[in-house]
Amino acid sequence: MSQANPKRTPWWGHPPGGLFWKVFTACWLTAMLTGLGINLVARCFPSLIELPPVPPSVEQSVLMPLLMGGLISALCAGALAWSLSRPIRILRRAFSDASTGHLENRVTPLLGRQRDEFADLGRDYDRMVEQLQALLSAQRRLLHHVSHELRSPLARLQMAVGLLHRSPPGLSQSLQRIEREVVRLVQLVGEVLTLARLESGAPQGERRAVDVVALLASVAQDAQFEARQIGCDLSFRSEEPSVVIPAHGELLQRAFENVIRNAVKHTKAGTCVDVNVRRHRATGDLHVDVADAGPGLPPEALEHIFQPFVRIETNRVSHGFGLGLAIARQAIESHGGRISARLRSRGGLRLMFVLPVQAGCPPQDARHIYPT
Amino acid sequence: MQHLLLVDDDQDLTAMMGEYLSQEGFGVDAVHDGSQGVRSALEGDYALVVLDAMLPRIDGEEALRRIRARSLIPVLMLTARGDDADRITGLELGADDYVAKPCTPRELTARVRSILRRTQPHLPVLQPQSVVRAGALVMWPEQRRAQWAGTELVLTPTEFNLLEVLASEAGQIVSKEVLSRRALGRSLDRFDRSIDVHLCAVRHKLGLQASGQSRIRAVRGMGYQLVRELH
Repeated sequence: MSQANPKRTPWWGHPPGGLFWKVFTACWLTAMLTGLGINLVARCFPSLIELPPVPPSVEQSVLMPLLMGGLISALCAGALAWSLSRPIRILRRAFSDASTGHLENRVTPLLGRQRDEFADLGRDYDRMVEQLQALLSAQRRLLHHVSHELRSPLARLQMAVGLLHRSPPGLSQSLQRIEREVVRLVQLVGEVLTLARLESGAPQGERRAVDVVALLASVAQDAQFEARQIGCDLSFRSEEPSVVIPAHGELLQRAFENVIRNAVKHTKAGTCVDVNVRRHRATGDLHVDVADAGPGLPPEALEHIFQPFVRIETNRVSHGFGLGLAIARQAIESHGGRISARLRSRGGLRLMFVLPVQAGCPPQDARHIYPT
Repeated sequence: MQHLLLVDDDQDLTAMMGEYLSQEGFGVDAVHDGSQGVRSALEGDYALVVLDAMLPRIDGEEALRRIRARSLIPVLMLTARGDDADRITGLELGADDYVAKPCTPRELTARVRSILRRTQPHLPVLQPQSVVRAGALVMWPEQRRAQWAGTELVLTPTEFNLLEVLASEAGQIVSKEVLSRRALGRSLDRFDRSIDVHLCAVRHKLGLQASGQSRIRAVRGMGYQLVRELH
């Protein structure tokens, strides 16, 4: 039963001034008065209304019709009042539960059989509560992950400082270690904040004209340099020299970097990462392919790599926190695009993303349309 | 020199822990994998294992379970600061104590030392050893052996210590603070439930009295007591 107002709500669940009594009284009075009215009119003006013939004993008494009418109308009024106030009572209890944090209960099984606005209200309530539950658990998961991730760099920092106290000659090395950890922490906090902001859907600021192909080329060039330093290579090919869209340049740059540098990190020594850019014939969208020759992934992990804090395990020590692809996905989706991963037939991973380009907007003129 | 085994997947961290502990006079070996950790703990001749609660593949709890299935080697768990569930589960599975990561190397060393101080079995001596008796319970602290009514009790090092303290004060209530100092070698934190978890395990191992009540009585607000049974 309702927990909210134990003193005010009697055992049958309908408080004195409540909906049930209001509806009941209104219906009953209406019925009674109507009946009485008809009766009076019939007696005073017999010509207007013809009542069906009744036994003489009953005809004269006033009490009997009153009682009969009263009883029948009371029953009908009661039924009507109950059918209206029951859903309200159920919903009230549900909201009261939700307000104290009990989000597990659902109303539709209790209300679902009706096909009226109450059932709709019940369905909306259930949807709302499900949404709340999902949001809360996502938040809880994020907090858990963040505190878990912060633990390791902080532990290393404390060890380094402890060693430092012990042996001043090791000062320089310990300070280097400390600095490394601080840099990692700053990076981690930055990535977590970026992801949180993107996920919350908060507006990221104004969009400007960005030449996406040029941006990709620049990121690819940097990545090529890095790749060559570790004995790998990167090739960049684009059908179009330039495609401009309204975008958040920094965000896209981050996304491109995360995807491309990920590929460079995972590709096997001596292999080449292929970056291909083309425009879709029909839609005009920009399709970008980043393919590496690394160990690949088990097929069931392909969707999971875009989730926060999921790391692809490799033999090499992973330097990231597992947020790179999650940020990339959020960034690309916030531009109306989508990103996915597939396995290559020769081994390795292929990351593909699509960025929509405004139709009928030739690249060269776009710069004049959007304010810079 | 006593040898310690560090089981943690963080290579930088174990390198530094190893460095610090070596300077403290311990021999240190580090392993970065749970199953390797279990193997080394069971086969190697270590005085204590420092085990991280969060390991990849088989996690810390599973590793602890496997170690405890075959050995009573002292285990210090590294748990996440603020994560109570971790800590309690570790203790329930038989870890002797825990230290929350991140911690200073001083804290770590202090915990290691306090466990070792109280859990090192002495070599068997020829002179009559000190024996602690309390009803059907007989304990040989130097050999770290205990029996209840003739049956050997299998106790982890910390469980043994706690029972020893209660037995030496049998019939009297011992406060949690005293239990912590004498058995764990450290003072009690306000919300620390380690003693409760360890004693819960000891209760199970001791079984029930004829009356159906546990042989270790918890007195709210005061401490624990080993009940003196009347024979």
